[in-house]
Amino acid sequence: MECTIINSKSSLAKNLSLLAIDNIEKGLKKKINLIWLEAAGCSGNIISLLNAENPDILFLLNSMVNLKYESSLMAAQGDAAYEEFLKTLDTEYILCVEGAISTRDDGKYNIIAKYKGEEITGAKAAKLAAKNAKYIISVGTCSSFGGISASSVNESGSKSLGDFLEMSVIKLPGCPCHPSWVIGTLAALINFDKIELDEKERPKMFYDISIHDSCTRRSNFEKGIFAKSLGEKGCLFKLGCRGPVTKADCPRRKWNGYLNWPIGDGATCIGCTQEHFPDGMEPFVRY
Amino acid sequence: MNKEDKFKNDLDSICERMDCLSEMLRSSSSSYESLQSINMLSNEIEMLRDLKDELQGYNETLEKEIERMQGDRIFTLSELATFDGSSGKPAYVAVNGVVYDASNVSSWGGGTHFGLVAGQDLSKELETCHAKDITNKLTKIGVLKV
Repeated sequence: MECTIINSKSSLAKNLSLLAIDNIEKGLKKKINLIWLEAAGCSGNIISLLNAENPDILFLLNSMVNLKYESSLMAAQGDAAYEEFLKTLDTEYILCVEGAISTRDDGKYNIIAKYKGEEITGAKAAKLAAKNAKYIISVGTCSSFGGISASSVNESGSKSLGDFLEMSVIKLPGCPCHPSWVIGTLAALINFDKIELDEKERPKMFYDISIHDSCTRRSNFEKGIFAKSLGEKGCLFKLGCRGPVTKADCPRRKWNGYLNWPIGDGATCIGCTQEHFPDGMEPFVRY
Repeated sequence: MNKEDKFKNDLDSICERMDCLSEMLRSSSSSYESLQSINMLSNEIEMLRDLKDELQGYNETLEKEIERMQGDRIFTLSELATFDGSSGKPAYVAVNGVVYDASNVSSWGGGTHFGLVAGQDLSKELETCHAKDITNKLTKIGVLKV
């Protein structure tokens, strides 16, 4: 028999999205604009979002929000693309930022556009867009906590979005962020105009308990059955697993179409949603 | 039956037999009877001595066990370094002169903890990173000899 609680949690993002779409169709909620900025990072979060299923990215874009600006996905380019960004600033919109904000040398390490000959830095665009945004969401660990971009030695002077703006933002850490975490958060905001956050400003519905708490290998830890190398059965704690200090719902949500997840495949959790990732989570594996 | 109960039972039996022998000695009607009782009493005294030695040995073992539990095992820094949590080895850390076992502390995966590695004196790091004293949650293993 399948666990109904796990099933309901796994389909949480989908149910919220369906409710949001229903509310939009009935005219109870407005279909809101969305600006997605790719700042100082690897753009892995938008790639991860493209892998979303239930609902998939096209469903999200067409039914729940109007994606007005996303440099990797939009058809427009150059001045025309940036003009789209500027036009959206006068509307009601949600701002999603992935990647940290590079601050060294006036942010010149992260140029996101060129408009009328001027180089637009990620820092400038983030500041502009944050001003009138209805909600600001940090997508991924770099934007949420600094992540890899701000790791030692941090040559680009990267900061988390919240630290750079000196304001509260909704944080969806993960390297990359799970597509359901993004879609579920957007849907919750559209439906209820608010979302319950924990002390680190992460939505409780996705980041409420540690990987260790709901790990499929938890009983091995309790019984002292430990794997001696990657791929072995048993708890991976002695190999440096960061599950106990990392909060996310990976064990029940899983990745790549809800198919599997690192520990399920015999690899340690590297703590990618943790605020101290990556420096504080190293070494990722220890023999 | 535990060790303490066995000692008590043995002692009670000896006392009972000695009482009986004393009574026999007092009421003996011939020198032969008296001599026999005295011999038997001597045997009981010998048994008492054996019991005393056994009890002493047991107390010494207990004291050692208590010492071990109180964490009197002495580590030098180089000895401590061998317990770094790698390859399934125990993960010990020293804080303010006391050595603790972090092997199964869930935030110490693979003997590492937020960039720190076991097998070292981490007194300063603990003071910097933890507002409260968390050593009471750890198992004491020994003391650090600097």
